[in-house]
This record gives sequence, C-alpha cells and structure tokens, in this order.
Amino acid sequence: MDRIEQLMRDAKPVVAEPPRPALTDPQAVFGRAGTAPMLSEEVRTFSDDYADGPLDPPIDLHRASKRRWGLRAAVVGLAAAAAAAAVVVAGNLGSLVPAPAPPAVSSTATGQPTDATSTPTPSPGFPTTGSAECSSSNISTINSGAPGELPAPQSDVIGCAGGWMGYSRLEPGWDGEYYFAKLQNGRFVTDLSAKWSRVMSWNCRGVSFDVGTCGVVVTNQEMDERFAAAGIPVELRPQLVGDQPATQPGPTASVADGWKVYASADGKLSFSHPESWRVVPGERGPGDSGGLILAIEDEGKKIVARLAYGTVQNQGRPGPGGSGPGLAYTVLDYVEVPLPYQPFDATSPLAVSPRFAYRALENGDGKVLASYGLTSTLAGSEGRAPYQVINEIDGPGSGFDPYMFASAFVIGQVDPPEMTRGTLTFGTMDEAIAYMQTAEYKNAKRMITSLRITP
Amino acid sequence: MLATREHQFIAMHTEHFGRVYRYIAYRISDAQRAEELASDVFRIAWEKQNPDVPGIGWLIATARNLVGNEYRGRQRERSLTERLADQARAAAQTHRSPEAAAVADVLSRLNDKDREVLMLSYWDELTTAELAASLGCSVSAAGVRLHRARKAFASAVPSHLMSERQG
Repeated sequence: MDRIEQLMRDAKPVVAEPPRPALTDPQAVFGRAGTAPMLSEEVRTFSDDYADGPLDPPIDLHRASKRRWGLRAAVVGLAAAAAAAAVVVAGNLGSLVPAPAPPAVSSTATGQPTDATSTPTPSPGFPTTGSAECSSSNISTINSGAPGELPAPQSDVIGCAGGWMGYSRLEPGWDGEYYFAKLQNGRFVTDLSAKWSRVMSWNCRGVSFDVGTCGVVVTNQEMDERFAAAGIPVELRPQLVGDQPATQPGPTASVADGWKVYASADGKLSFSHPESWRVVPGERGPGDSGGLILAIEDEGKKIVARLAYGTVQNQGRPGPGGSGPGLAYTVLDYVEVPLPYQPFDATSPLAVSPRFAYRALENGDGKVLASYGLTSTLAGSEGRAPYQVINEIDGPGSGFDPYMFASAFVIGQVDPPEMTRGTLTFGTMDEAIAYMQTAEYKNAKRMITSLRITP
Repeated sequence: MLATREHQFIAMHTEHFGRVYRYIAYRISDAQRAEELASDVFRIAWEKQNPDVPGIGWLIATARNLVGNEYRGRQRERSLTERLADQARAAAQTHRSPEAAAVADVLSRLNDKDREVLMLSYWDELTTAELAASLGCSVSAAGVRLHRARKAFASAVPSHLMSERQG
C-alpha cells in the first residue's frame, strides 16, 4: 500500500454495517420490470458527473444549467464550514473551497496568445436601470434546482441597461458564460429555466455550453446573434457584455536570424520559433481549464508542436498505466533544459531532470513510433518502456500541474488514442534516425529547447 | 417459480447491496435515507430490464446520480452543513487522528472529479475495471484519472504527511 492509499484508507469514514434486506422476489418488491421508469428518467436527466457514463443521457441544456448552478450555489455557502470540518460530500458537488478573489476580468487564462485576449471592452458609463442597484448583491436566481431564490454568488457585474443586467461568474470553471438577469421588483432576477439566462462569453465558441472551445474571440456580430437567439435585446449588448475584446499586436518579436520570440501575455513564458511558423491558440480538451494552450504551425499549417502550461486537471491526459514487458524504446537524442521542475515522485526510478528528448518505440508490427519534446519521465529502463512514453514535465510549483511542449503528448497504446496525435510514424528505426537531419526536426528542437518559464 | 433473470438479480442484490449502501452512506449523513437510496438503485436496475445484470460499476454510477438528486431535492445548504457538523462531532468522538482530519481537508480542496475517483478507489474499493464501469470510460482512462487524482492529492497534502509512515 503506498502512502496516498494509506492516508486515504485511514481517513475513511466509519459507517454502520449495512442492512441486509433479503430479496426473495424482485417483482414483488419492485413491480414488474420495465413498468415504472419515472425514477430512472429523473436520474438520467441529472447524470452528468461523467457525461460519458453508463447512463449516458442527452442532458437538457437548461436543466443541466439549473443543476450546476444550484450545486455551486449551495457549495459556496458552505466554504467556511468545509474548511473546518471533515470529509466531503457527494461527487456531484463542486469543490468546498471559498471562491477565489475576483479577478480583474472574467478570464482564467494565465497567458493566452495576445491575439486572442478575452477581456470584454464595455462601453463607458453603464447606465443603471431606474433606482435598482446594478451590483452583484442585487441578484437573485430562481429555478436553480434549489427551492426558492438564491443569491448569485461571486458574480462580477458587467453592466445594466433597459431592465437587464449582464454579469459573469467568478468561480473557476464558469468563465465561459455570461449570465443575465431581469429587473423585478427592484431586484435583478436570473431565471435559470429561461433561455435568456446566459450566453457563451466572448472567448468561447461551441455547440453548447458543455461542448465548446475557449481561447478564441468572437465578433460583435456573432455575439449579437447569440443575444438574438437567446431572446435578449440585441441593442443592449454593448451595455450588458461590452464590445468585442480588442485584439492586440502579435506577441512575437523578430530576431536576427529569421526567428521570432513568442512571449505570453504575462511575460512569464517565452520561446523562439522560425518566422515562417505561426503560434495559434491550441484546441482545448474538455478537462482543460485556464492556462495557456498553443499550437505551433509550420508554413503548411502542419502542427509541429503543442504547448500546454498552467492548465488545470486535464482529464484527457494519460498517466502511467498497465504493466507487462512493454515495448522496446530508443532515445535517439536528448539535451537537458533549464526549466522549473517539481517531481511528482522524486523516488521514482523514472523521474529525471527536465530535458528535450527524441524517443522512438518499436510497437511490434514493424512500425516505429516517435516523438520529440520535453519530459521529466524516462520511458523505462534497459530499453523497455513498461508504460507509454510521456512528454510532460512535472511541476513547476506546489500545484504539480504538469506542462508540455512536444510533437505529441504521448506515444504508445493509449486510450483515448487522440492523446497520441502528433506521433511520428516511420517504417524503420533508420528512418527515425534520418529524420533528425531534417530542417523540421532541427527547428523544432531549437524551438522547444528555447522555452523559458518564470513561475 | 422465479425466472432465471430474477435469480440473477437476487444474486446481484445479495452480492452488491452492501457496497452500494456504503457508497451512499459515505456521502450522505442519514443512514436510513442511505438505505432507501440503495434500494432505489436496485429498483432502477430492475426496471431497466438490461439484457445483462448490471455490475458494481453501473450500480455505483446510478447511486452517484441518486446522491446528486438527493442534494438537489433537499435543503442542500442546511443538510450539507449538518453533515459537516456531524462529521466534525464524529471525528471528535472517535478520536480520529489529526492526520485523518488533514486528509479530509485535502479532499475538500480537490475538484469533485478527483475527489470522487479517490473515494471510489480507496473508500469504495473499486478495482480499476469497476472504476471504469462506474465512470463510463475505458480501463486505461480510469487508470489515467486515478493517476491524475493521486497527483492532485499529493500536491495538496502537507508534505510531512507524505513522508510519515505508520506500521
């Protein structure tokens, strides 16, 4: 038993022995099978903890919204108690921690490319509506799933006009949406069962609130269309959510030999790349929250490398798993790099200082799979990789949030296989070795090893 | 005379009722309600008429949704506050170690998915295959989620706890 398992098991609550009701005739107890699905249906509607779960329901957008809102609302009120007390509540509930201090804007990105900033640009002089106070303390929500009205927790009001209020939520994970409230008896009320209660924010786009891509900037026209579709007066859009965030000059600066320097908006991360390559916002996975996700494209728009830094709990990333003899692997090239590093498990024989590595796996069917990128985990020992080859560095700080800058995040047999995108495939090991002489490899290596991070 | 499916269902009920009950009892404070919800899980399983008798993963997934509904249907703030207060009192009464309290605090600070994966693995003692069935993902992905959850736990737990070993 390892230390984490030991700690968890020692903290396991003591519950009474379960009753052992004898079940001798299910039909007598539960009725005829298939005749009373009401409870099942209700459960299906509210099963989203793992949306791809066994019940796998198509969740109604507004009901899902109500649920999430209600749960979050309940949780925020308990933050202080949670800090002082013991264990935890249902898995469906959000984190029992106090909401963070309000940021200046409702974006959690630490350094999106500056051509994709997400700060709304509200029109000056937001009008208030009559004598109603245009502030977060004057918001109520109804139809949240909880009885009665709830105050809207931790909201950042953007503006009020024409009996409407636009605001954003400040809890982590809610930055992709704007919420709206209508003036009723002196208070702004958000009816979460109403279509007008929210729209996607400037920096997100997608088919629904649960399936979307953030790190983009939509146009005024697109936002107006969202308002119209939701039934919110389009003419109030500038007052309620501002105007399209201004795009800023590109983040790169030319250097002498045909290379540019990319720097994140906060200046904490930088790397150089060929002038002809483009740094674009990368595709976010469903588990990504916040942080910086980039893709670097060559002249032909082929993605040469992906970078992810400061993202929170990417559920889509693989970790070591499985066992067995593993696959034969070869380190074809490596160089250590001066980057922040906090090993997840310093005692692991596979933990290693940060480095750029070009590694190849022989997968047994005659093909050679390879990837280049930063890593702090050896592929294996004695030429056998028991797990996948992972291009990721642990750290950099106490958060242990790993970061990557590589052609592919992982190579090997991985589920889901999308995580292996960017894998280089060669017919023979000689071909993999020859690839190191190409301009693409040399430029990619120079680019990746130029990464500098100030945590 | 019971049909084959009924025999299978009774066997499944006998085998898994305790685990399903404990799963719920770890997450809500009312033992009687936990028992009712556990029964509801099996009622749903019966009503669904799946061609195969569901396994523990399906049952746990259904229990998770019922627990979520339970919070939705109650005065959540009050009931959760009571639960937390109950647990604080229980901890004092049973002289649970400061270490356990610290772990509880760490759990409270994890995101809900990490917390659930850890609880499923170490409290509900699901195997990786059962975890996968409960989460509706592949075994490999379940391993990934557990790995990530462990990392999050390790990053949040006080360092002295990670180095202390008992027994």
